[in-house]
This record gives sequence, structure tokens and C-alpha cells, in this order.
Amino acid sequence: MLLINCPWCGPRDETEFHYGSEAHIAYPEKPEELNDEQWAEYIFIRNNPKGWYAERWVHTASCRRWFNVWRNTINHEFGPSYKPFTKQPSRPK
Amino acid sequence: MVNLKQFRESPLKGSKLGSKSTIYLQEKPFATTLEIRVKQTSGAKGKIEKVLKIKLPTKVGSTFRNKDFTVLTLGPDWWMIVGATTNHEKLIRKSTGSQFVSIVDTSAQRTFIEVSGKYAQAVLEHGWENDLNVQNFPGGSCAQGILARTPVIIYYGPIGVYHLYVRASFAQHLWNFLTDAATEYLAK
Amino acid sequence: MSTVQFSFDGVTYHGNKGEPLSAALLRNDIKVVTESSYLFRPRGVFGLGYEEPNALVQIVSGSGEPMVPATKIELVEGLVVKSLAGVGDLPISPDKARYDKTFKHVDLLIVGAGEAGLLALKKEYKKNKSIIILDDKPNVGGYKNELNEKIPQELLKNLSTDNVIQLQRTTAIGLYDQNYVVAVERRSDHLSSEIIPNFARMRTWHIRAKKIILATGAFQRLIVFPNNDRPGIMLSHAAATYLDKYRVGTFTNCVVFTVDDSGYKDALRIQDTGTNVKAIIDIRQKVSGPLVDQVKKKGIQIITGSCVTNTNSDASGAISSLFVTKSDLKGNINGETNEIICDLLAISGGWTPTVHLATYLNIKPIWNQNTASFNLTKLPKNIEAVGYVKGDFDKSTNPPAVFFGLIPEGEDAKVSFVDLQRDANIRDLRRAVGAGLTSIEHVKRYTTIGTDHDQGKTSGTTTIGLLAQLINKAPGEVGTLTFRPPYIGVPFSALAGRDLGILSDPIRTTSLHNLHLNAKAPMEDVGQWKRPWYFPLEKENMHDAVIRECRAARNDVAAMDASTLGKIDIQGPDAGIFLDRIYTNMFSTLKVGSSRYGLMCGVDGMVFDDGVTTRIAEDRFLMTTTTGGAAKVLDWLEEWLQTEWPELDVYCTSVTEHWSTVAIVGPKARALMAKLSPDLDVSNEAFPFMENRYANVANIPARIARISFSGELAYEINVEAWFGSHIWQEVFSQGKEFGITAYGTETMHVLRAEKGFVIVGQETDGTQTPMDLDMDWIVSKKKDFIGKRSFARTDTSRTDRHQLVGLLPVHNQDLLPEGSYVTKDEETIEDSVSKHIGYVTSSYYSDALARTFALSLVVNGKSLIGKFVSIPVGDKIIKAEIVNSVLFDKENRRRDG
Ligand SMILES: [Zn+2]
Repeated sequence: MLLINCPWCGPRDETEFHYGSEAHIAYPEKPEELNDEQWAEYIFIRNNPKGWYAERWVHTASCRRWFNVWRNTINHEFGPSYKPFTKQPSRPK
Repeated sequence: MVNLKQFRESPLKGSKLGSKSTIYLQEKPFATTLEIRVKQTSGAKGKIEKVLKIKLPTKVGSTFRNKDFTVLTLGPDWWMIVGATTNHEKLIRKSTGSQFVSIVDTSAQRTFIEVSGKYAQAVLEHGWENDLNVQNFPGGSCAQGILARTPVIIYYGPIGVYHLYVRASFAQHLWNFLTDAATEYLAK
Repeated sequence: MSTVQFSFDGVTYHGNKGEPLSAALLRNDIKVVTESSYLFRPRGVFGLGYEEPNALVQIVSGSGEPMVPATKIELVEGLVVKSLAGVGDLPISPDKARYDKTFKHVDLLIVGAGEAGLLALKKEYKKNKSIIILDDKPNVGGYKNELNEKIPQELLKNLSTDNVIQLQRTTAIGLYDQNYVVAVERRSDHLSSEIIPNFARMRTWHIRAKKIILATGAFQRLIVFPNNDRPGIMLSHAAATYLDKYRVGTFTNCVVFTVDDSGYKDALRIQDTGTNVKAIIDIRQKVSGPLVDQVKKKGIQIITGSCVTNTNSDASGAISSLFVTKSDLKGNINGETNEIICDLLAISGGWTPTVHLATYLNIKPIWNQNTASFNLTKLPKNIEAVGYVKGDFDKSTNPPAVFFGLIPEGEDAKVSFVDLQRDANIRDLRRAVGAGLTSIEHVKRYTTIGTDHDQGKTSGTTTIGLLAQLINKAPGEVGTLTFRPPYIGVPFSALAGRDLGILSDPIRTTSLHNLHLNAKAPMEDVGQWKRPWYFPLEKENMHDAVIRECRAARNDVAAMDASTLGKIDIQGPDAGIFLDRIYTNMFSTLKVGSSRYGLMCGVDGMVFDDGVTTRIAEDRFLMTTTTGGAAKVLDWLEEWLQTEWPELDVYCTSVTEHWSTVAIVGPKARALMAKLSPDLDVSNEAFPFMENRYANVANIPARIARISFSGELAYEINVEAWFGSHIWQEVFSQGKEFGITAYGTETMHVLRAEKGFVIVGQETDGTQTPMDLDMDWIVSKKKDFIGKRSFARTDTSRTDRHQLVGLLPVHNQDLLPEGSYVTKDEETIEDSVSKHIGYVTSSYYSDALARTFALSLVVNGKSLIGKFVSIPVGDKIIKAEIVNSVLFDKENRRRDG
């Protein structure tokens, strides 16, 4: 079970969180101006890298806050967590 | 004026079990609560603190307590004030005026179970996944999380009593879990 | 030490309380314990702990357990076991014993309380506030303890302090991300052979440690040669410990076969018990040092540079003699063969460190030629290895030979065992290599080596070594097997703990639950909620009860508990704008005190949840969600507020349980409402449909909403939940004169389906747009909202989508099973195959229509209205007509009474 660092509550067990997939996928400003392919890209297509990945979690069972975190998809090592709309910390080594 | 209290019924009807020398469980029904949502940076926060003579602590998991209220910090902009009533809601609204603050009376949303006695921590650890070691969860701490797959707020009071706040629909399940978890300790 | 009685294969024996069952079997001279799983060869006790591949038993007494190594059962009075050949029987009756689990967070976890673990505790004690040290044996000391060596007091003193939890008989079975260890403690089998009531037989420890020290030690491994599996052939440390520590085993002549100095140490221990050690056969050419000198002094013959090449057995199958020949480290035999008569062959094949836990994290152990084993040298921070696992072997001794055994051909290959438990042998290994397999993972699967309960504890490194030799590689190049948790066999009951029966999943109840139980209403599971399904009168079946309840709602008045709907308080100056973006229809224009039905979609345009939302104040709404969707919707709202629209001043608070809701439904609901709330003007003009009023209901302050999920005149009374029970009882006592009838979820379904109202999750599965559900009217053209762009996608605007329609079976009493396929109009099952065009989502008998009906999603359904379809049910075809989904009161004449 993962131990995830909530920027507000500190490290807590995975069972308290829900996963939110890739971070930094913003809702398009003018959806109606996108063609079907671009719109489908926004809805359905996410990166799936081997290695460091910036992803979203929500601390559902506690503070209810959404946040971003770097996670290594190879060994589940966590890098820094950071709040939405704050500067993204650089990719961990 | 009819006294409405006679018509109230709590989810566990004031159940209790055990003894302080081992493990003691008790429902403390009908505490009243307000849930306050206000931004840390909002001027309304200070006004609420002033009008109720309380503190809304900054750090999630910390608490404030005086003779009237217990304030639990559940999120960066989220407090639960135990002991505050609908009248307090009116006081707050009056003091904050048009400033944005969300106030919700959630008194009947949760029921309150006290867990105390020598083995209180051990009983909770059968289902609570977070750290209850006193050095990491000292008296006056609170945490919202999952106990026996149930959303629960635990407030560790200053005198070594755990106060559990559980959504009423889960109350019987949590009680079933707690009384079961107490089995081995009750026999001691 | 007290003597206890136990039963093995139906025969009563005696042994010493607390000694391993394997020792007690040897005490009673039981050398042949069982037959092997596949080849039915006689086998005896081989090891001392969880490495045991042969002496498996089924525990019959107490809880019973199908497959346990005899080495790990502590003898207690009344223990009943039977031997088994690798396959146990699961007990068929429920286990009455208690099992539980606990969660612990510690600064330090030490796995293993042998000398290395105790030294680590001493070193780390002051630096850590909370420590768990666990060990799978009854006592600390590990190997030292088995050697009967005293553990210095300074290593023990920290064990009995407040900040150390010492767990014996506890095995770490898994190590997971971020230092999460699951360990199973066996708490009562050593106390009693019977189940101890109210006491957990096993406890599963879920431990999160800031730092972990692996002090898991090592197991001795076997050496491969023909007929290396006979009873009387044992690992030398096990043999010496049985003889020396437990004083069991009647052997006359012993030979030790070794690749390292451990064989010498064990030879001395065995010799000291009075058993004659005739020789030590050492594969190494040259040996020296104090142990060798001691052996020589005792007059034990040392045969160097040699290998056991075969064994003979007596009538029971136990070893009676062995053959020894000169051999090099590649197993090339050369020279004359000598026979030595013996009844005990003690094998010292080197030590295999227990690296399993680390490998669960995908950490690769590194081959160390000096220890002839795989060691943990590279570990992530916060995990440390000490002792054998790190490669810290006894430095005062000669290095072990890198030798794993012989690789014979022909018939000898078939009896040269690599994995005793799987009966896997050199022939299997040769065939794997012959088939072109070179990866240890492939060889493992081809030969099944290492796949049994013991996961190759005695055979793993041996397999790697022999494979390396066969393919001309070094063991380090072959690499280790992938181990997976659990490290030992664990009963499911231990993992389940108390998560059984009513505790297996939370049961959510409303404040009226006890009243529903008193009314003997059967319950329906709706997510985690228990909701009354129907309220049968005495001797009434469900069908009749539902007809009666429907009639009451359509003709008189009926009441239901609607408290389970999710409720979210939404406050803030931007709440209206927020809801406009969330719902497909407009909410910012809603008048204070009014309610509106809303539909929300995902960004993909598919219906996600629905419910009625009420404007409580200019800047405050009360949203209701589906019963099962409440948590999901709250997450959804928070996600958009926090991650996309932080500029909106809106907060959401769950109030699901704060309110109890009683719906009173039917033509006489108005009269009842007037009686319950004498001060409230209940006329349609004063209190129209979709509006809310605040009034006292039977003295209790309430919000009353004119909302209908049945098409009938209805009032929903909302009170603080602790008044729910009082209100329900008042509704029934005051409603008696109107013939008030309680109804459950089944009647609710019939009533709503007659009106064509969908249930999200029943009529939808995440692939329906509002248009598919014939709800174009709810999709605003004026504003943007989540999902809108998707309605213009090619896929969502195509005409051959599944669309909601009604179905009327041609024979009006035929009930279509929910989930049935709808196919094109065909006469036979055969013809209907592969012609399905949809499925039945809801199906009921309607009293109001005096017939059965169904809702269904059918490809291009709306254009098929008036056409017929076939529904294959069992071996029959049921014909039905496609109709509009609204079947009752199409003009909504009833909702105002
Ligand atoms: Zn949090």
C-alpha cells in the first residue's frame, strides 16, 4: 500500500485517496473551437511513461483536497507533492 | 412551546460497553456542530474567531478547545465547531456580512462515540490505519480518515479519551466493529 | 519439561511440550513421514524451519490447517495431525477461531531476532522511539539458540522495554512500497490444540516503518546427487540440532557431506551426542583451521575433494549406505567408488540468505562468490540488511565451495532431486535447457522448481547454480528467481481477520432502519445502504405486497423512506454559475425556494448522475444525488472547483445523513399533509409543484418539497435525522384514516418506470447521452457545461446509438428478465442469435397498466416505435412491441392531485 504525502495532512495511506490520472491536463478554454481529434485527445489520451510521472490525487477521506505529486512508475517512489496552481517542482533524479 | 428534545433519537441510543480499566465505549449523542468553510486569507476568518472567541487553527489536524467549543481543523479551509448551534451560525453570518463563508449545521450528520480505557489505542489500531503513537498523535490532535472502512474523524482529547465522529448511517457498523475489536481486551 | 500426548496418522505418541513436531516424530523414531507428491517416494524430516520441503502435515485438531511444515508446529497436548503428500484438504466446516489484524506505525522494524537482529536492536535502540522486532521462532536467538549458545544479556535487555514490541512466532510475509510490511503472528496454537474462544488465533500486523532492518538469516541448502531424497538424509544443521538440542533421533552411523565448514561444526555436535560420525566428505580439496583440527582430534575421517555419488536404502526407504568418489567442483567424477554404511547423511550445501522480502520490491540480490550465495548489497534508503542477508558470514572459517551437486544423465538424473517438494530433478532441468530455455524464470515454470509452498527455500540457489553450469554461465549472470508474497503459506482466515459477516463491508442505515426491521421489511442492498424492499403483510408474497403498495400510492396515499439520497450543501456567491457548468440545464435562474431536476454528464458527454437541486437562498443550494453516487459526485464537484475554477467562490459540504426524508405520495397526500402541518397552506396554488415550504410537521421544523418520483401528488418531508423516527411514526398514526401504506424500493421502481423515469446506473452504464435517454429537453443550448462539446462528436451524434424505449410483451403477463438481450423480430432462438439490438434495463408487473412492461436500450430505438422485437428467454422467444418509455399518465395530470 502506498504512503502518499498530502501537502496539507502529511503522509497517509493510499486507502484515503483517489487517483486522478495525469496532472496538468487543463480543461480547454474554448472546447467548441477544438476539432473532434483535439477534443478526444483531451478526454481520453494520457501519457503512460516508464519513470517519473506527475499525477493527481485527491485526499478523499480526509481534507478533500486535490494535489499533484511526482511518482516513479517503476518502483512507486514518490517525489515532491505540490498544490494545484503552484510551481511544479523539477522532475526528481 | 413543545420541548423537541423528547422526539430525538440517536443512532446508537446512548449505548455503552466495558469499563475504564480495560476498554470503555460510549455513544455521547446530540452534540451540535457547525462546519465552517472559509479561506485562510479571508478577513471573515478573523471575524468568526472574534465573534465566537475561538481560534480556527491553521494546520490541518490541530484543534482548539475552550469551555464552550471544540474546533477541529479538517482541511486548510475547513473547520468543524463542536458545541456551536444554529444561534452561533446567525452570530457568524451577522459578523461576516457579505464576505464569503460557508456555514452548515451538520449536527445530525454524525454521532459521537467515546473510546477510553487502558486499551483504547489498541482497540482503535485494529481498524485505524493512521499513526496513533502519542508522540505523533498527541492529545489535542485530530485526524479524518478511515476506521473499519468507515469515514471517521478521531479527536484525541487532552485527557486520553478518543472522540470518534462518525456519519450516522455508519454508526451501527462502527459500533459493531468497536465492540468486536474490544472482545479480547474486555476479557482481560 | 512436560510430556504431552499427540496423534500422528491415527497413532498416539508422546513428546515434549513445545518442541517442534518434527523433533517429536524423530523422538518416536518416525523416519518416513510421508510420500512425495508426484513420485510417491518415501520422505522424512529434512530441515528445521520453513525451509522444510518434505515433512508436511495436515493439522486436524482445533481450526485445522491443510499444509503446515512439521518443523513449525509446536507440540501441545491433544494435537492431531496427519501426513500428507504435498496436497492438503481444506476443512469444509467454517473455522470457529478468531483472527484479527492491527495497524502499527514505528520508527524501526527489525525482521529477525537472531544474533544479527538483536545486535541491530542494541545499536538502534536509543535512536528510535518505537521499535518492532519480530521473529518466526518461539524464542529470540535464531541460529545461536539452535546451537544451544547463550545469548548475552546485553542483547536481550532492550526487548522488555516500553518502546519495543517483541513479536515471536511472527513471520513477515510481504514487504510493499514505502516500507509497509505485513506480518502474521501465530498466537494460540502453541497454547492449546483446541480453539481458544475470544482470543485471536492469528493476528495480521500491518506495519509501516520509517526504517526496516532485514536480519532474516539464512537456510542451509541441499546438494544434488542420485537418491539424495531418502529419509535419513537431512540438512546438517537440522540433524545436529535435533540430536543435540532436542535430544531426539536414533541414528547409529552418520556421514556428513559438506561444501563448507558448517559441516564440520555439525559433525562435532553430532559426534558429541554419541552418534558415530564415520566421515566428513568435503568437495573442497584443501581445508584447514581450528574446526578441522577439532574434527581430526576426535578421529573423524575427512575425505576431501570428493562427492556422494549415490545412496542405498533399507526396506523402509531410509538411507542405509552411500557411495563416495573423487570429484572436482564441476562434478566430474574420477576414481574408485567406496561404499559407507550409514543411517544418517547430514548435508551441508552452503547457506542461502533469506532475501525474499527485499525481492518483493524488485530489488535484485547480487551474487557473491565468497559466500556462494546471493546477498543484499544494494538497498533503497530506509532499508538495511544485516548478517547473512548482507553477506556477513562467519569470517573465521574457510570459504565455502561453489558447488551445487552432480548433473548426471540417464536414470540417475531422474532420482537426483533439485526440488524435493515438487519432485523436480536433474532430468527436468536438462530437458528445460535442451528445449532452449536459459532464463531462470522460464526454467522455473518449465520444471516447476520453486513453485510449491516452500518457494524453493532449499532449492533456489542450487537450481541457479546448476543451470549456470549447464549453460556455461556464472550464477550471478543467471540471477535470482522472482519471489512473491506471501513468504510462507498463510490461511485466508488470517488475512481476512474480522472482516467477516456483517463486518465484511459497512452496512449503512437510515434513522428509520429499526422501524423498517420491526415492520419485517426485507432489505435490499443499494450500494452499502440497506433499504426496505417491500413491506409484506402477514403471509403476503412480494408480488402481492408490491401490487398493494402501488395501488395505495396511485389511489390513496403511501409513504417511503427517501433518506438515502446523497445531499450536498453548496454555498457561495458563485454557486449558481457553478451549477450551470455542472448540470446540463440552467440553475442560476432558479427562484429561491424552488427545486429543479438536473442531469450531469462527464466530459465525454455521458450521463453521470442526476437528482433534484433546491435553491435554499440566493447563494445556497441543496443538491441531491443518486443513493450510490453521493461520494462520487462530491469528489467531482471538488475536482472542478479546486483544479479548474478556483476563481469561483463556492464550497460544498456533505449533509446526506443530516436529513431524514419521508415522502408521502398519492392522491390523498394533500389531505394528510394538511393534517400533519395545520399551519401550512397545501393548496396547489399556494404550494405548487417543485416548490419548497418551511413548516412544522407534527411539531418538528421541516422543509417540505413538492417533488415526485412516481408521477403522483407527493410531498417530501425533510427533518433533522434524529427526528426521522418520530416523523415516520407520526405520518403513519395520522395517516391511518387515509389508508397510509408503507412502500419500499420495489414499488418505487415500478412507479417510476411506469412514468419512464430513469435510474442512473440501471438505465445507464456510462455510455448514454441525455439524448439517448430521450431527455433532449434537459440539455441547454444557451450555455456551456461539462460534456457539451462531446455531444457534437461524431460518435455521440450518430443515429444508431442505443436509445431508451419501452417494451410491452405481446402476452401481457410475460415478464422479461432484466438484462435480457433484445433481438430483431425472429421466430426462433437460433434465428435470433447474433441479431441483438439492445437489452432490457428494467422490467416489472404494473398494476396500473394491468400488465407487464419493461424499459430497454435499443439501437435506434426511437425510430422503431410500433415495431416488434424478440427477447430470447431460456429456450423460448418472448415477443414485445417497442413503445415510448412513458407508459402512464403521459400528460402529467396526476402530480398536482
Ligand atoms: Zn489531506
